[in-house]
Amino acid sequence: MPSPKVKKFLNSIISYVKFPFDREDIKIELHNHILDRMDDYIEQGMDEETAEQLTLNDMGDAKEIGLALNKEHNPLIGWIWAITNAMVILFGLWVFFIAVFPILSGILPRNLVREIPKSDIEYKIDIDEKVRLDDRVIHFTDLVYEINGDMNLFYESYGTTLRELGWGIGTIGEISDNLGNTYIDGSGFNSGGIKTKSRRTIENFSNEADTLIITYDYFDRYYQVEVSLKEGEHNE
Amino acid sequence: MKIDKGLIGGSTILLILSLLKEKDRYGYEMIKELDFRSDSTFQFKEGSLYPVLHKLENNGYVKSYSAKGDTGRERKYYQITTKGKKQLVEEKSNWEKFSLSVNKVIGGNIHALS
Repeated sequence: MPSPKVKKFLNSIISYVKFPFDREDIKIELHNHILDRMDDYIEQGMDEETAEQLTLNDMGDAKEIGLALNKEHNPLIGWIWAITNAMVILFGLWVFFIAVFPILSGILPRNLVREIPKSDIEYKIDIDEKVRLDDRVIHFTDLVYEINGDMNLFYESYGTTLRELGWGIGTIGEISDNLGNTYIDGSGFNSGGIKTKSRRTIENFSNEADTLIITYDYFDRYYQVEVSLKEGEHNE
Repeated sequence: MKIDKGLIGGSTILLILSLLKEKDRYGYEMIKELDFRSDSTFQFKEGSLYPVLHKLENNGYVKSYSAKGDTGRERKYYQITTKGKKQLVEEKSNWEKFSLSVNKVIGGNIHALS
């Protein structure tokens, strides 16, 4: 800690420096100089008080030094520098959240199936059906039937060409069962990333049906996937 | 002889860059070295060194870094940059031209007096 006299001298110098962020560094640098000079005087046999007084005389006029330093620590440039730095950091964070985070979450797969509480599940079926629509592959992975009658269909979709990377998919087709019921698309959910993971929920799916049928017949493209519902692991 | 001037006028940059060309130094070290080599000819207010150093840094002639010195005290060391070395060459040649001109004038005077 500087003595009161030295402290007053240093504070007087930096009171002329308008840019606040540089003040502490200047203070430290000058204080170290003062300590070095005092050490030398004390080594020569002076008492501390005399050493301090002589050192402050050697340093010069606080105002003169402060004004000269202020010229070199231009507040305008200083602020531009500080703001630029802050913006670079913000930009980095923005890039991370907009670009890196979704890619990471695509690479590190998020398990949508696990997001349904186990106590709500009536049965769950692993499907492994892949269909192609032009350059896109749709991979149906799981079917989860909930106690409340909601049928959840899980699927991933991804492009086979770079151009298709990251694009989601619209409809996956019409969903029906072997009893002739057709279900209007329920609520859907997509998560971004290289592989788009999706969940489609169909409310009030018949608990008597043994087969779920997905039929896609649009734009001259056609596929049909049938999933047997009786093989499910009940009350998992 | 003692020369007391702001900080030895126009030759300040030449002196500091010359000292830093040898090795990295901190402020107090430069003051002591200047004092020692000039046999205490240059008397100036020590605090006025720092605005000059900071100016050199702003101009890109030197850069600074913090390191613990021999006494364990944290020091701000200054290091000459490539740009600083180029500037040093220029300052040196300017100084030589200047001193040559001064000598010519003085020489002329001496000649006139003799």
